[in-house]
Amino acid sequence: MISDNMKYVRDAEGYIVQPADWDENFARKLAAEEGLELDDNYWSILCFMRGYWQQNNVAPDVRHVTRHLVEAHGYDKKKAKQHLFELFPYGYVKQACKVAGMQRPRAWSTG
Amino acid sequence: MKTQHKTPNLDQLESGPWPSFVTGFKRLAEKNDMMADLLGQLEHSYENKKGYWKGGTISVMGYGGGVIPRFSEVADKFPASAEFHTLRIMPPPGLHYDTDILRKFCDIWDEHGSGLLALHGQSGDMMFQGCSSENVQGAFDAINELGFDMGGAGPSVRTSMSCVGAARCEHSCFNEAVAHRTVMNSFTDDLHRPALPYKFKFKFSGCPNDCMNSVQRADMAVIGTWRDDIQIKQDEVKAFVQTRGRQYTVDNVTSRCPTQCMTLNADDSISIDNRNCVRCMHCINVMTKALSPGKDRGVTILLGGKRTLKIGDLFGTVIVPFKKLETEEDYTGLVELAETIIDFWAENGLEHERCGEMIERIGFATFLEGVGIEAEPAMLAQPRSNSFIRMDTWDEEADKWKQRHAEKAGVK
Amino acid sequence: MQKHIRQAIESGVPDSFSFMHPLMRKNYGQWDWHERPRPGVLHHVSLYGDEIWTVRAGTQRQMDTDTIRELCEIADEYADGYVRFTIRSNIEFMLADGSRVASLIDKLLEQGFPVGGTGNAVSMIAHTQGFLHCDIPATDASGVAKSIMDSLHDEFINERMPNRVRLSTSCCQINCGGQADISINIQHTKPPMINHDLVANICERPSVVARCPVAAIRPALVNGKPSLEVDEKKCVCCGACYPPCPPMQINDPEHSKLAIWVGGKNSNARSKPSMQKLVVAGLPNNPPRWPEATAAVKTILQCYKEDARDWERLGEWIDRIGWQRFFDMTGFPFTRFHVDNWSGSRYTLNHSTHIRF
Repeated sequence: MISDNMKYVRDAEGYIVQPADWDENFARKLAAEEGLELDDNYWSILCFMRGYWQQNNVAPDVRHVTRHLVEAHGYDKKKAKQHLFELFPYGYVKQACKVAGMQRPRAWSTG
Repeated sequence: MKTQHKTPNLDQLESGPWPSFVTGFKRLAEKNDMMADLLGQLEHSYENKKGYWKGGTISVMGYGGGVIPRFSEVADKFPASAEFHTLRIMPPPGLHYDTDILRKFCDIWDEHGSGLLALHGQSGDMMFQGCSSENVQGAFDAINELGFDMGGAGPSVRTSMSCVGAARCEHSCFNEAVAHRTVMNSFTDDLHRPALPYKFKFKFSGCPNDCMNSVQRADMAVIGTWRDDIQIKQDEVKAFVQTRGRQYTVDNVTSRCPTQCMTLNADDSISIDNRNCVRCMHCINVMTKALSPGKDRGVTILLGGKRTLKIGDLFGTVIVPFKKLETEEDYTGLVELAETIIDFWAENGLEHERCGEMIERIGFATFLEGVGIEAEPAMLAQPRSNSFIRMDTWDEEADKWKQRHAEKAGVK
Repeated sequence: MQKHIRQAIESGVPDSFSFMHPLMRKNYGQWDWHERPRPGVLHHVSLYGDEIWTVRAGTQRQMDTDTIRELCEIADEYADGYVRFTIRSNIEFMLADGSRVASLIDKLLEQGFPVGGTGNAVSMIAHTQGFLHCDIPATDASGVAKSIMDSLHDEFINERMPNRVRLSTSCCQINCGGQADISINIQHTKPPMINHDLVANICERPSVVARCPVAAIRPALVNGKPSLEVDEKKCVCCGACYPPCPPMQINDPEHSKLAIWVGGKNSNARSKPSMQKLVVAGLPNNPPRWPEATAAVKTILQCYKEDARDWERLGEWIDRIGWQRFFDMTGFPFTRFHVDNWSGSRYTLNHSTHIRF
């Protein structure tokens, strides 16, 4: 299950440069770096994010992911968000987007 | 100690009567290599008229925002300031401090950061500027232990601001500090864990002078006002007129009233047609001793203010003409209103679209319907002047208005 | 990696009452009236008869810890160990004893902090981060503020303007500095320079396309690589694409200019709040002192000071005298760029025969 280090080009902060290169091995490797152990809870989120990216070519907002959790797992909205940030304690952008193979989000660089 | 960079451009900002930030930076640079290289990079920017920072993603355990990461693009030249992140920390409402807490902040920041502190940023945060990636968590932990918490960044509820208000201003029309804390501390999750379409700012100004500039900068502006008559001390009015003269009083008080609702009487007293007073504050600002806001005080709430990106600057516009803010129930109502609005926007806003821009896109009437608020004349400067609208449910809408009026009359 | 496991205490906004001067705490909500005995000093009297004197001083905002400690020492000596800050980074010392105001002022001046910024003075410039900490700035902020406040020092320490004057600066066209009576803002004049080699690897292209306010950006293949191109006829050079896509460099040492806007007002006093309007553009971005921008600000202030009536804010003064006379008095050129083409702009045209000759 160890992925080839050379296969994925990553930026200085470790985000994948080409989201299309992502695969599940990459996710496991990144998760390990972040100290996360991927179980079904994670995969549900990662699969949704990948699906959203396939369709739109942009990373989904957090609110899209929480909406997915509401719809797929019957959480209420607050619980869904709490669940997400428990899984990714350093935040959606820093951890979820990185593990899901999104380019580093830049929408919030400033302002 | 590091050799100090030559800074001929910045040196020129040490002269002149205004306090110089450069002098302070140099003082820090003598004991702190990060600040020595920061000065070098800043001088480099002044030489080339270019910025050299790039963003990144740094956060503390449990939160998704509040740190503004900065990595240098010229770290090869200025390695000690290669990482120069900012921690946004929320100050108390009204920006009050005792010297004990300020000194504690200074000690923490000398230990964990650069020693450079901006009081305050445009959103109203204390800005602890200049922290390495490694020290961010430790610095935050130390500040957090003092009872201070991270501010907002990213697509989240942002740090709020309120004026000095009731603490030292006779114009104050509500308890700004309590409203500020009650609202903001109902949204800590939305502040610390960004999950909204874009930023959302609350600002609280105690009176229509709006010293927090909430109408142009807050998504939700809470501005103090009153419903009853301006309080007049006629003996003080007379004292004012006798000191300044009738001419001055007419030129600077009565004739400047935007609705011409004031009269200076022959006996040097003043009459006000309060039904036509729009609570602009001008006369009260001029005659601070003689006039003050009425006793039936509360707030007007305006929605959708923001600066230029993306569709141009927008003012906040009235969503609640008057609301009392005294009982616990009143405060709960304010928080619930904010929740309803933020929920609707989170569902319907586009990525990177401020609340005011969404309203512009979908139309104010549609928005009102979405959040369940009835339209009122006070929300408008004027009714529509073009006829391009389908109105086949006019009778139903008119009945709603009549019913609301009947209910209001019944309450009285 | 996870060596810190401390959970944050999500305490939110701290309570202000324990940090408030005891007299302010005692008289909270009970203030009756105030006066300004001299520039930089406020005197408030409460319904209980308590009095408090506030001395306001300008700071550099971007402060080193020793400067803050210095201010703390002054607060301990004169103000019972309490201070507060204004929205424009002025510091305020509250005194229970009015007889000590003069010696506090002497002390502040001796330490280099100008006393003023009250009433109809020019207060400190609301400013942003610029070169110091921003990732998208075309100019600096602290330096611009320092330069302009040096030259407006006399107007900070005196109250001789018709009404209060609020200034701001912004280092890009996001305009974080905000609306003000006079605003000194970056205005880019050329479309972004695109590094097509980097776009695909750094930018989420659909997000960048969506960010453009005039739909001037479209996806394109350049040299066989997926990139973005800009319709330069449509582009308004706002720089909105730059933050989400750094390879679309908008900042230019030569072509990012300064523009000055006037007449922003947030207060409801007399007239309704108003937005600032363009006055002059094309000023060079000229560190370390920005003399051209400073001179333009001084010109506007001089005309305002000479011609406006008491209590008229800058925008209200221009509304009364008309824009024609404003341009005549200040000597700034009036150009076709002053005419707004944005949506809703017909309301900025003159739909009457009201004209001053």
